[in-house]
Amino acid sequence: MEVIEEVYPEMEARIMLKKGAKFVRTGRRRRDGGHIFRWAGSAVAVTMIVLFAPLGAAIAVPGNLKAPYTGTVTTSYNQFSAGGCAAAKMLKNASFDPLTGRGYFGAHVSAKPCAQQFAGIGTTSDGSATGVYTIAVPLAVGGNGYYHIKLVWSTNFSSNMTYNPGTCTGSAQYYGCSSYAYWNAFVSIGLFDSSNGSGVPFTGPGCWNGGCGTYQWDAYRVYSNNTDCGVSYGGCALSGSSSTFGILPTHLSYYLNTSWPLLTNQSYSIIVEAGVQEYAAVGAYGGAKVTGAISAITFNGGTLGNYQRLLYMSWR
Amino acid sequence: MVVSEKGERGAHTERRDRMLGAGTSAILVVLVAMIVFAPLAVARPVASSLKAPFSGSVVSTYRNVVAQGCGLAYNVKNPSWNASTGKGVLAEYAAANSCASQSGYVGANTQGYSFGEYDIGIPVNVGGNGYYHFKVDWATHFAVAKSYTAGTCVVSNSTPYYCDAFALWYASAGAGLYDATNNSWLQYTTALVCWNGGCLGLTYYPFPVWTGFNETHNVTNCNYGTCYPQNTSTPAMYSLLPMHLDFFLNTSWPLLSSHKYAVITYCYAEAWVSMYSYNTRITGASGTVNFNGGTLGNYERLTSVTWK
Repeated sequence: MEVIEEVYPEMEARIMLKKGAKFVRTGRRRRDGGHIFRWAGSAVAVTMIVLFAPLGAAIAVPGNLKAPYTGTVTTSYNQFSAGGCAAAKMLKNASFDPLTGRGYFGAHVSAKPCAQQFAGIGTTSDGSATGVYTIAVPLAVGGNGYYHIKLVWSTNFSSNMTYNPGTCTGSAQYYGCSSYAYWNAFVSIGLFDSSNGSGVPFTGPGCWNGGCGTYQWDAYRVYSNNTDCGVSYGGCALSGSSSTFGILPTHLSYYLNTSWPLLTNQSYSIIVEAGVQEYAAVGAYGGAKVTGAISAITFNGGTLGNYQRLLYMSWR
Repeated sequence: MVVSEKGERGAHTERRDRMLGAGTSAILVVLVAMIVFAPLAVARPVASSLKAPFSGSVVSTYRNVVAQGCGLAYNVKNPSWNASTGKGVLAEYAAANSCASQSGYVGANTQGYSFGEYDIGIPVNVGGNGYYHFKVDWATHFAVAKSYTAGTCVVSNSTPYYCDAFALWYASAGAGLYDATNNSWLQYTTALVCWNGGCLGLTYYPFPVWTGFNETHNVTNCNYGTCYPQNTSTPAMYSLLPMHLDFFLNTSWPLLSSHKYAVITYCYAEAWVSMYSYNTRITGASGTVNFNGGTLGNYERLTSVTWK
């Protein structure tokens, strides 16, 4: 009964469990009320157990994990590229240490127009970087049933973006310039059944710094500008956009309510994927030159006191 | 007077006058032809050449490095080209092993990948209008080393399951002509790249490209108990490393002395080792690839650009 009372109210699994709870309570009352009701209640209970075996077998056993996360498998993806007068580097290769529960990622990219440009050479500069780690934390459930899994992270992130589209000049019949700056950071979560090689569906929010959203914390910034000049435009057409989404959290809490029962004879893993993608570009075409443009991004989740730490994982 | 003068000037002069009389018609024909076929009529290409230092040249470089899972990669030598000497360098390294630890798909994908490239724009001023024949010569010193163990695709109860492992290097170089006045590529009646006694025509727009590669690839694709292994290796002819690369470009329209032209030439190399599995795991696979065009005496040198 404790389990039921602590279920998060908005979850489908909770509703199903509550239905089961009402039935049990009702049956208990009927048993107190007389033989007929008692037998009737037992018969209904048996029928329900047969019909809804998975629910009937739902005896979730609580558990929890803290660092060291023994048996955790980690992998990472680190990429950077630099073209023209761009620079890119990993501030910290994406990684997760199961012993401490700490993860890191961070990168810097920048792009600016090249001082020397000729015949299309040196007219485009772009830099990109991606650092992502993926971890699989073994989840050994002690009983069959619907589970409510909670992951709590402490996080420190910092970001910095400098962006100036500069000035585009040209004299050809058609010419133009473009610039771009973008970063996207995320910590997403999933539940995987290694026994049958498939994901386990779940519902539940992710919460950070006073708000809740989907199961994935996600934040991004993007700026872009395009200048396209030509006869058909009657001059120059300007377009651009900027968009900001999300905050940099100091803590993340994820709540997973499994949509079907977990079984003791299956191998489950909590999958966490965390990282950042960055892209900066400045370019021109048609003999145009862009001056004064700069696109620079630093997202730091790995140095200068920035990190992600999986404080604990619990389930019930 | 005319007769007298004619008589005084003699037979030689008379023949000249006849020639002048006949030549008047010829001149008219030539004039008409020059007007009608002006571009051809003014076709007076002026031969010239360039060697290091390649003054006014512009170079741009590109590089990319990916390390995933139990993979490793780096630019052994960042790509660069020196206009003073005409020498370029690039060197790539990639390695990967199948990861010992794997949980579901975590750890199932491992790779090392890197590439380096430099692009060069060399100003060319033609001294006269006309059709031109360009030759761009490179001397190259490349070295490659590749090791690869396919490993085992573990039999899985899941279906389908799949393993894919490979190690490869790939390199290319090209040369073409660009009209910097109207920002367009030139086209050619003949475009060739020749190396080690053989030549290849225009297979990639907008200019001829040499490509070399060497790949060893193992795929196991299993569906409902039946597996379809595909093991491939690159025929040796594709992985011959050139000592010289000579590009021949015959323009299909006249170049104009009033335009600015550029010889655009580039060099690219990549190294890549990858292991990927789905619904299973690969054990014991490993590979390393070293493409060296930048250290231990390896380099690429643009020896000359000539036109006539």
